[in-house]
Amino acid sequence: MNWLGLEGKKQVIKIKEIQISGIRGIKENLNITLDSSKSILIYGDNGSGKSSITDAIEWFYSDRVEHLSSEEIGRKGINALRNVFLPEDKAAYAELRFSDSRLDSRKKLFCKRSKLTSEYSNSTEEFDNYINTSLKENLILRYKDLLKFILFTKAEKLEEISQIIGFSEVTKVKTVFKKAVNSLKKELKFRNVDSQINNKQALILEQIGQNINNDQQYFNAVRELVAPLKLPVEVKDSQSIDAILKLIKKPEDKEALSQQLSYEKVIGVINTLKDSIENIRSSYEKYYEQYQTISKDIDKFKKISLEKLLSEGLLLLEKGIFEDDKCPLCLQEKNRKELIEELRERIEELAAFKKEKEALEDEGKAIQRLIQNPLSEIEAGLGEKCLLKEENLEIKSGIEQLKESFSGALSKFKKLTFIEREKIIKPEEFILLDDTTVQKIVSTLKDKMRKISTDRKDDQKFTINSKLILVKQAYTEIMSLKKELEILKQQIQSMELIHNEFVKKQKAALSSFLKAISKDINEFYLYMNRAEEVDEIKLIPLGEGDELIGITIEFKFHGNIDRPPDKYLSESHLNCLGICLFLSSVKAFNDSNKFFILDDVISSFDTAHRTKFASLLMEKFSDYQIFLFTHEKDWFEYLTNAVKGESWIITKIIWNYENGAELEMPLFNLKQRK
Amino acid sequence: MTDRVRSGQEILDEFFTEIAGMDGMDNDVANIVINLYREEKLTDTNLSNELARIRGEKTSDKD
Repeated sequence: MNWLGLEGKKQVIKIKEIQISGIRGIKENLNITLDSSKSILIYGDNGSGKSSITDAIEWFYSDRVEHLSSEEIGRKGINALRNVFLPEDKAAYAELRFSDSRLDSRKKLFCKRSKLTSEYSNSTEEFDNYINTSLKENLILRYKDLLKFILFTKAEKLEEISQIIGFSEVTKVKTVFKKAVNSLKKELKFRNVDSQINNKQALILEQIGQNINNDQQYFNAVRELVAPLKLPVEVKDSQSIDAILKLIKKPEDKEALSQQLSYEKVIGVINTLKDSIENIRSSYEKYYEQYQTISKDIDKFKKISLEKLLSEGLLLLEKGIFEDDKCPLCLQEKNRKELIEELRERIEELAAFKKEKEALEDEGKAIQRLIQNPLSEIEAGLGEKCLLKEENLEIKSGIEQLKESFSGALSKFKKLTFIEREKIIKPEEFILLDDTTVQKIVSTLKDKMRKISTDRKDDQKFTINSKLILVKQAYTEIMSLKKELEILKQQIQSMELIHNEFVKKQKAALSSFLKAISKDINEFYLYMNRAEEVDEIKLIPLGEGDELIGITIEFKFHGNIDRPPDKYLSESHLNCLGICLFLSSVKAFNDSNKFFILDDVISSFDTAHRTKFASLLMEKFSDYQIFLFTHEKDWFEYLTNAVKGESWIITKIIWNYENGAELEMPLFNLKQRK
Repeated sequence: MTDRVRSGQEILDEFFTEIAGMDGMDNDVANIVINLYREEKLTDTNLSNELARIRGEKTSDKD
């Protein structure tokens, strides 16, 4: 989003004045006047209060101070923000005045009913928009954050970049599409429509000796069926068939016809059940294999719960809250850098395992639904009137046993955990259905149904009526099922199309972005490291199938392409790469603000790299307002000379017990000083 | 950087204007997806429910 100025034209924001009071090391009012938004170089020893300025500005924009945000400090670092000597009834504040005065605001931090509260003096919508826009920009780089991105895992790099360019939302939408496709495909499996259609076709074949696939065949078949009755109705559509049924209906046949339909319903349920069981067994076999593989390493399952703890430990190390060469969790001696890498690897490994486990749990839920569907059908079937007859109690009992097989398997399956491996049911024992028993139930039901017609075989009207009712019902259901199948398949096709096109777009956009930002990173890095054997630094997207799983940094080292950079580069070179990443992101993302803060970022650089870095800032970022803080005296002196003739303000910051952090007075402008 | 970086939001907005014109796209599916996005309600649950609702309506439709 671009910030629009008073005339509605795009404009960029610089800072004209900063006033800070009662924040961190700044006790009394610290005032930095930047005459028409000049850049500023501040020198100060460690602990003199340079970072207090950075903290105040970070809090002004984001309402948090990242490096103070630990669980112990709490409230996003705000609890540690107020100067410790500030009386409770006095407000701390940071006030920024901008090149666009409409955005000027003081942010106060004060105690209200014993709670720390913050409040802006500017409550306009445009200020609110400006703050929201600024939150997406990269304004501050501290030494501690230099290596953060470089040492991130590939997944963390992707997440970080996604957050910055608003790609998180894109990834979320892609997940929604993918889930919708999977859910529709599962629905197709659950509905078992093909099997239901086949059973209905079999019924039609049995009743009239032929298949019916369309309306024309249906009307012809009905015409042939009712021909012996010589009715005064021409079979041409569904209404005419209804009219025929009305004509041949006899009150005394009602119960017998109803019984036939009831038998047919139960036969349909049992037949579909036979097909369902195949579906369930093949899904369960796959599940069983995956379960065996995953549950082999039981320790891994137990360790999943450690992921959170390890992540907390990593956070402590990354934020520099714990800086010793020790593990913050077990306090064992350990090289800090190695420990960070090890923790990242373990967390990534556990995250991958957790994903595998979740995928298997999803499969488990699908199997439960596959069992639940026929189980509900059996329950409905058991309520059919034909099974209420005393003569059918044995059949009913047989069907109840079938139900028991399904419900028993479902119950055991629901109780299954990954830890109690011995409780998993072997595929050959999962839902034990005796085919002979099932077959016997179906054939007995069919015999009973046929007997109703056989008992009235001399009643031509009844026979035709019975066949017509059964055929009509079966054909209507087939048409409905086919329609349902067609709609479902059309939805799957459309959602797959949307998902595939979206993946293409997402990949193209990310690749184009990474290509563009890589160009800048490489240019800046080579600017500072010309005679060295590193070149062609690129951010590369990594994928598995249609999934983007991460980003890595690739580079040419002594003529060979390699990754990641921490494999070969020294800490100083990695820091240099970190600065290049930050500066590239400033150019790429900062549309509203034309300033950035570099808080003591060159500590690990040798003299040659420091001078090149200074040149890079002067040459490539001359249109930016730069806040440069350092505790390196030589570099300060070098810079003081380097920025001669430029619009820079140079000053020193000192800290004393009485007044806290103070700027050397007066601030001087190099142009004035010459 | 010479190429302007396109934000995630721009990519999404552009994509959702292209859905209806995709070859072989079902109009009902396109409308559901586009409307849920416009209403900022595009979640997997909402999408699945809407698709199921349309299936139900179309299956019970006599034509």
